[in-house]
Amino acid sequence: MIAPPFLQAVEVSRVYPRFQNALVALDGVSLEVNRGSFVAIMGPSGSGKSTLLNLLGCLDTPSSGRILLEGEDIARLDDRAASRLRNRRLGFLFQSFNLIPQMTVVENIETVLLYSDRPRGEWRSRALAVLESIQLAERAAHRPAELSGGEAQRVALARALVNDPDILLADEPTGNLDSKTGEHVLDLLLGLQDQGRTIVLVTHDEAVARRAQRIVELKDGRLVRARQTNGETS
Amino acid sequence: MSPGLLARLAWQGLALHKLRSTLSAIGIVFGVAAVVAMMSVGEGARREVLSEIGKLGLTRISVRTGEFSDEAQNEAASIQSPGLTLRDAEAISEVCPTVASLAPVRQRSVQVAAGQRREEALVVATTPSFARTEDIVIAAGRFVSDADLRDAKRVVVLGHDLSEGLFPYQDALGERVRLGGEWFSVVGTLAPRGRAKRGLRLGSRDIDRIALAPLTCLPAPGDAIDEIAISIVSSDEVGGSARLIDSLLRRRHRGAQDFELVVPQQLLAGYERTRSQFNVVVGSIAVISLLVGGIGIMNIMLANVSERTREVGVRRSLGASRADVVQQFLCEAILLTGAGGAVGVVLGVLGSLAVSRFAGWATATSPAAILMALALATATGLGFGIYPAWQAASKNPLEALRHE
Repeated sequence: MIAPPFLQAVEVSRVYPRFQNALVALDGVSLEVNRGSFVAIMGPSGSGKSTLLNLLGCLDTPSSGRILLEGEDIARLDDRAASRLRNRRLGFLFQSFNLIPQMTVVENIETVLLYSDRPRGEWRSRALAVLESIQLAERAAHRPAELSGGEAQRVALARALVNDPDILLADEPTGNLDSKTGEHVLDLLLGLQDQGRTIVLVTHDEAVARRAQRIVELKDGRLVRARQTNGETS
Repeated sequence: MSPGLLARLAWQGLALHKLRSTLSAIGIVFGVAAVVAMMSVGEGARREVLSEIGKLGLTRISVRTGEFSDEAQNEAASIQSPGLTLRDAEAISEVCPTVASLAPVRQRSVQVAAGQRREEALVVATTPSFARTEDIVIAAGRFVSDADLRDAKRVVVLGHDLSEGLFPYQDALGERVRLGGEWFSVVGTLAPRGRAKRGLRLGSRDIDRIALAPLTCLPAPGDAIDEIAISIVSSDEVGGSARLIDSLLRRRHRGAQDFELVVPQQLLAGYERTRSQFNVVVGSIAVISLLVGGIGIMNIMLANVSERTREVGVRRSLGASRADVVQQFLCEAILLTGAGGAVGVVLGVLGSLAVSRFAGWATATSPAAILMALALATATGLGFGIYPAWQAASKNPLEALRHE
C-alpha cells in the first residue's frame, strides 16, 4: 500500500464573500508536499500564495476542497483541535516577525510552550537551547525592539522550532531583511530541512524560491506550474 | 495554565499602559473604599447600639416619667392624673405575674462631697430589689437593705468611678459623704461596669457614677417616683408583659400619656429594622459604584483588545485556543479590579479610622466586610471583562495577524 503524501491540498478553493462580487482567492488548487521536502510557493501579489499557506496552516478554512495531513482532513477541525495542531505540528514564520513587544526574547519563545503539554520546568531550558542553536543566547533577556531585523527573524524561527514541529510554514520570511541576512535565514531553513523537517515557503522572489527543492507557481488563484529547482518542469 | 502564569501574563499586558490601567482601576478603588468605610461605620454603630441595649438588658422594662409635651402635661393635669407613683409599682407587681423583680426609683443629679473633693453624680433612691433588677455587682460592703429602707437610714452605695473620685487613696467603706445638704454613710461600693463612649439616648444610667440610697431617704409629694425598673422572668415574655403594663398604667392614669415605657427588646427590633434599611442603602451605593467602575474597566479592556489584536493573532498561530485567549484577557480584567479592590480596602479602612478619629464615631471593619468587598471587585472584573475577552477570542486569527 502506498503511503499518502505527508501534506496535501485537494481541489482547494477559498472564496471571500463580498457585497457584490465574491473574491476568489484560490480556485481548485491541488498540491502535494512530501515529508522532509522544501517547497516554495511563488506568484505575484494577489495570486493566492499566502492564502494557500494559511489554509495549510489551519489559520483559515477552505470554501471547498480538503487539506490532508498524513491522510487526515485537517481543514475542518474544531477550534481546540486546530489550535493543538498548530501548536504541536506546525511552526510559523512571518515576514514581519510578529514577536510580542512587551515580552523578552526568551518569553516570546516560551509562549509556544505555554499552550503545549510540556512541563513548566523544561520551558526555559528548551527556549534557551533553541536560542543557542541559532547563536542568539546572549539576546535572551532583550525585548524585540532591541533586535535587528535579522535577529528578530531568527528569534521568530527559534519560536517556530521550540516545540519541535514537523512542518515549518514561512510567509515571505526574507521579505523584510537585507540580502545577506535573508541568505542566512534561508541557510538556517535548509539546515532544518536536512534535519528532516518539511518546509513550505511563500515568496515572490525567484532567487529565494530557487533555494527550495520544488517551486509551485500560482497566478490568479490557480496553480499554473510546478517544477523542480534543477530546471525540470513537472 | 497555572494561576501564577496567568497572573504574570496579565501583568505584562496591563503594564503596557501603566497609567491607563491605573486610571481605569480608580473607579473600583473608590467604589470599594466607600463600601468598606460605610460598612465599618455601620458595624461600629451596630456594636455600640447593641452594647447599649445589652446594658439595658433584653429582659428589662423601664417605666419612666419623663419630659412630655405641654399638651400631654395639660391633658394629665386636666384629668388629674397623679403621674407615676409607688402605687403604680405595687399594681404592676400584683397584676403582672411575669415580673421577676421590680424597683421604684427616684433620682436627682446632685453634688456629692467628701472632704474637699466634689463630684457630680446621680443619686438613685430605690429599694433593695434594684440590685436584682439592674444586675448590680457589689465590690465591697453591701447593698441597700430592707432595714435601711424601713428606717430611712442615711446610707449610700457608691458607683466605682464616683467612689474612686471621692476616695482616691483610701477605702470608701465607712466614710461619710454629703449628698446635697445631708450626710450619708458609705456602706458599699460597686464593681466597675463600663459604658459606651457616646450616650445613645436610651436612658441607660451610668452605673459607675451613681450613688444608691434607700428610697425613703428621698421623699416626694404624693409618693411620686421617676421610674419603675422591672425585670421580666424571660425574654419571651417581655412583649406581652410590656403590653399588659402599658394598658394597666393607662387605665390607672385615666388615659393620660404621662409615662413612657422603654423596652430594650423592642428598641433592638426597631434598630434591626433601621439597620436593614441602612444595608439596602449601602448595598445600592456599592452596586452603583462598582457598576460605574466596571464600565470603566470594560472600556479600557476593549481598548486593550483592539490595540493588541495582532498579539491575539500571533498567539492563535502559536496554538492558543479561543478559551486560552478568553482566559488571558479575563485574567487581566480581574487583576485590574482585584488590585483596585485591594487598594480600595486599604483606603476604606484608613477612611473609617479617620472618621473614628475626627468625628468620634465608633467604627469596626470586619474581615467579612473586607472579603465581601474584594469578592465584589473581582466579580466586577469577571462581569465586565467577559465581553472584551470574548471579543478578543472571537477574532479570526488570520485577520488578527494582518491587523496594523
